[in-house]
This record gives sequence, structure tokens and C-alpha cells, in this order.
Amino acid sequence: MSRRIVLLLAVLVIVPAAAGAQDVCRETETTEDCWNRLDAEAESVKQKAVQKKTETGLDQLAGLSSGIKDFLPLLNLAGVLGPVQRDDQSGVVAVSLNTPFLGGSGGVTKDPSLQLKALIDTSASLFEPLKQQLPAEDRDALEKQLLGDGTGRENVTLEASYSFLGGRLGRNFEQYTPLFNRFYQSRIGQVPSAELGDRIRALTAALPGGLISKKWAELTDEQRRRAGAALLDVLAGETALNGNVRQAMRQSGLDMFGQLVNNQPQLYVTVGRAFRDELFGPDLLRGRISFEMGLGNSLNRALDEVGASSCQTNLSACLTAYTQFVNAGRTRAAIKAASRLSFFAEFVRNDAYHFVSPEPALDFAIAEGTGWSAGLDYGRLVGVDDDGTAAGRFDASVRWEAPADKAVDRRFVASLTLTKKLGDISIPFGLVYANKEKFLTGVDHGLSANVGLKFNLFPGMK
Amino acid sequence: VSGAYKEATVACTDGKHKIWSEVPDQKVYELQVDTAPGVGVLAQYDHPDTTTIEVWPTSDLVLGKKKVLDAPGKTHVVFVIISFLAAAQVTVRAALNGEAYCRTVTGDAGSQEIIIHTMVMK
Repeated sequence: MSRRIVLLLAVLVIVPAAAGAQDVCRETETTEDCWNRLDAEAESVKQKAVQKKTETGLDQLAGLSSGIKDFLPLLNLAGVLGPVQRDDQSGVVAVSLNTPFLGGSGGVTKDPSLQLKALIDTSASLFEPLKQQLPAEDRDALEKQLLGDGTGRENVTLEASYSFLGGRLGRNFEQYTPLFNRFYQSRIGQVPSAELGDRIRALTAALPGGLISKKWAELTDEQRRRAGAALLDVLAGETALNGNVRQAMRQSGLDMFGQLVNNQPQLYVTVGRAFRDELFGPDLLRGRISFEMGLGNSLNRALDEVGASSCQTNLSACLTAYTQFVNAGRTRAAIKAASRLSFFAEFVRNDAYHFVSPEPALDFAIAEGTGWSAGLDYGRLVGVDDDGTAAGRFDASVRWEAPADKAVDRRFVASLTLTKKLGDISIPFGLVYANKEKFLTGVDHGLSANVGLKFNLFPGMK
Repeated sequence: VSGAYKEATVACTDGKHKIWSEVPDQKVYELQVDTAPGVGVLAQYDHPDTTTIEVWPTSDLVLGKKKVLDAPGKTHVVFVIISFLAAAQVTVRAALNGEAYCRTVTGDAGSQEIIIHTMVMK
């Protein structure tokens, strides 16, 4: 049912058919009060009629997500200094400072692009490789003995993260706002409102000489009848104007502009330094670079097809080309699928580490070294309805790790996961490959030493 | 921002429709919008004596638009059209003849609102 029909029905429901136009408003209301009330009631009816549609949320399934994340939430905290966050599971307390920083043009970005973060680990857990050196039978007791009361022991990580924002990078809407505003003015500015203006003038003409600001109890029956009829006419005209704006947004593809921005490529770099008491492990230097992009559904793709330079010289042609791109079947399909590709590479360098203890007797050392890891993820929705509801999603993931300790095997794991939504539950079905049998963990059925299936919705209930 | 506008430290709650009546000739109507990224906003001004609609772009509204109202006995209309591409909040302020207006609109992606200001001249 179209929104326009719903609104018209709403007005018909609110104003009983038996009532005359003079009874449209209440005795205590002015025309303005009455207009606002009728509109609010119509809006309420409309909202009840429009069932809220959402995505599946399947990417939230623990352990099966593609790892594709939107980095914006990291930078999108309420203020410059984010709230102190505590992860009860890991015991890590984090506080962040989000601020604009130098952008690609050499100037300062409009949106926060730099995040400085302090992570304080309050869990007081013994360095795991050190713990493994303790005799198994007394391990817990000796761990407590070594840790003591834990006061004054350092376990702090300082991180700096930078999101590259530029003409073709980043999902912060601010940088695309000038173009959107020009499109909006060009298209929505042309939606005709004059007819509604005339209907409003008919309403004010029905109540001349300041009567329009009077309460309806002060009006004659004839004035109420004329004003009531005019007000219903205005409401119908307002519904039509709303419908015309919505239609113009849809037909021009401007309703998709936000989706395209949300699929823009993101390049993100994080550097961190961990300062740790020797009980918690060696100091670490960590670096990570991440890149994520939408496929065939980004604003970059649209502007490439449109020819971004034409937007400066010929806005009309630019908007027409934009509209053609957004309304093309393949673009609509790509937006529906919400396909994303992401890549990351990370290194962790540990300082040389040597722990010696007389009681319990321990002498444990780790040489300085650097571990490397990288990953590639692809994810998309499948079976997406016109209202955005997806029947499932598909994820592919590849992980490679080369530990700093060269004596430890390199790890390579690849997985394909199809998550199907059936009613209110989501059923995952995954195929996992690992280069070594010992890395093939968490599978429900092994096909070979290196390949296994994941299909159990409730892994703890095998 | 003119001091004529309502000072708003919390969300403003005036209705979508505002009628100023008995407005003396040559009074100045002021309109200002605090918008956010991911929101399209513009205004269409309908003068009673012309057949063309004047479009006020976002940039004018953010800075604050002023219009001297003429045409005694007639009615001017302003439509403020707001389209949300992302969840955001927009505050629309106006002032005319010593009477201020302020409305905060909170919208989700895909929602829209049209605020209508009606100025009936004395």
C-alpha cells in the first residue's frame, strides 16, 4: 500500500464520515493546533501501517562473521573524548580521544579521523607462555603467588588509529555533503508546492481578519464549515506533496545516496605500543592496516560512471547520469547484496624477554621477534527482498599467520559460510580448510585432516 | 543567529505547522536551520503575488535566511523540506513579528518531514 493511500485513509479514519467539516477541529483548538493534531494523528496511523523492515543481522553470529566491520563506530563516539568503556570479559578498560586530523588535501579533516586510545588491562593474568612453565599440579596457586596483590603492575597499551579521509576514501558523510546538497536542491527544489500554497491561502481566506488565530469555539458554524473543508483540503494537499518529494527522491536515486556513501572504501591504520610488567609478557609494538570496500555499490563507482568533473560544470547532466547509474538493475542488485571486501595485514613485534624467579624456580626467555598475519574477507547478503529483508548471507574468509617464534608452524585457515535465515533463527553452514590438522578447530564434522564442516547452531550442545 | 529566535538547549517541540497572523507589512521573516551530515534540507518560498517558487538552499538556511514580507492582506507560505539519508537531528528556527518558532526533527534513514510556515499579512 502506498504511503499516500495510507495517509489518505488515515485522514478518513481520523475525521469520521458522519461529522461535518465544521466538526473537524475541537472547540479549544486554534486552526494551527487542529492542523498539527490532525497531521500527528495521520502520521501515527501511517507508522502503524508501515511494518518496520530490517536486515537479517546475521553478521552478528558469533564466530561466523566475516570480520567485515564498519570502522566508523570507532570514530563516531558522542564527543571528542569517548566514554570510558570496560570489557567485563577481558577486563580491559579503554578511553578514546577522537579528533579531526590532517587529511589528504593537507588541511584538517572536517570529521574525526584520528583516534588516540589507552587500553588498561585490569585482568592481572599471568603471561600464558610463562604460566605454562609452571608445574601443572600447582599452576593456579603459583600463579597467584607470582602475581601477589597485583598493585602497581603495568599493563597498558597506547594506540593511535587514523582513518584516511579524502575525495575517494572514507564514509564520513560530511565530505560528500556539498555534492548531495547540490543534487537535492536541483531535484527536490523543483517538486511543485504551489498547489498546496494555494490551498493554504484558501484556508486563511476562509478565516479573515485574524480569525485564524482564534479558538474554534469563537467561530460561527459557517466559518467552521468553510475552514474545516479548507483544512481537509490542505491535509490532502500536504499528503500529495509528501508523496511527490518521496517519489522525486526515489526516482532520482537520491534516496540511495547514503547507501553509496556507506559502501565507500575505507583505509585505516592503527599503531599501538604495549607497556607490560614482566609478569604480563614482553612489551609489544603492533601495527595494522585495514582496507574495506563495497563492490559495485559505492559512491566512487557512481561518480566514475557519471564523470565527476561534469558535476562541477553541468550539474543537470551529472544528476541525470547519477540517476541512471543508481537505477540500473546491476547497481540496485549490488546495493541490495551489500557486498563488501576487506583486507588487513598486521605485525606484532615483541621485545626480548627474560623472566627469572627463585621461588617458584623459573628462567624463561623469548627472543625479540616479529609475527605477521593477514586476512581477506568477503561478505554479501543473499535473497534480499525489495524491502531490504535478506534470506541469508554468504561469507568467505582467509587467514594467514606467521608467528614470531620461527619454530612454531605457520597457520593458514580458509572458510566459506552460508547463513540461512529461517523464521527467527539463523542456521550457519560452513566449510573450513586448515593447512595443519591442529588448526582445524571448532568444526562439527571433519571431512579430512584439513577440511571440516560447521553446521551446529548451538556448538555447546553437541 | 538573531536573538529573535528561540534559544534552545533541549529539543524544540513546536508543531510542523506554524501560522503567524495579522503580520504588519514589511516585517522580516527569519529562518535558520541547524542540520547534520546525511540530511537534505531546503525551503520553498511561495509569494502570494508571483507564480514562481523561490528555492532557498541549505547553505542559506544554515546561515539564516531573511525575507521582508509585503503584500498586505495576503498569505506567504514557506515549506521546509527535510529528507534523512541517515539517522540525524535537525533544528528549524524561525521568527516573525516578535513570535519565535523552534522545532527539532529527529529522523531515521529514509524518513522525511515538511514543515509549513504560513504568514497571514494584516
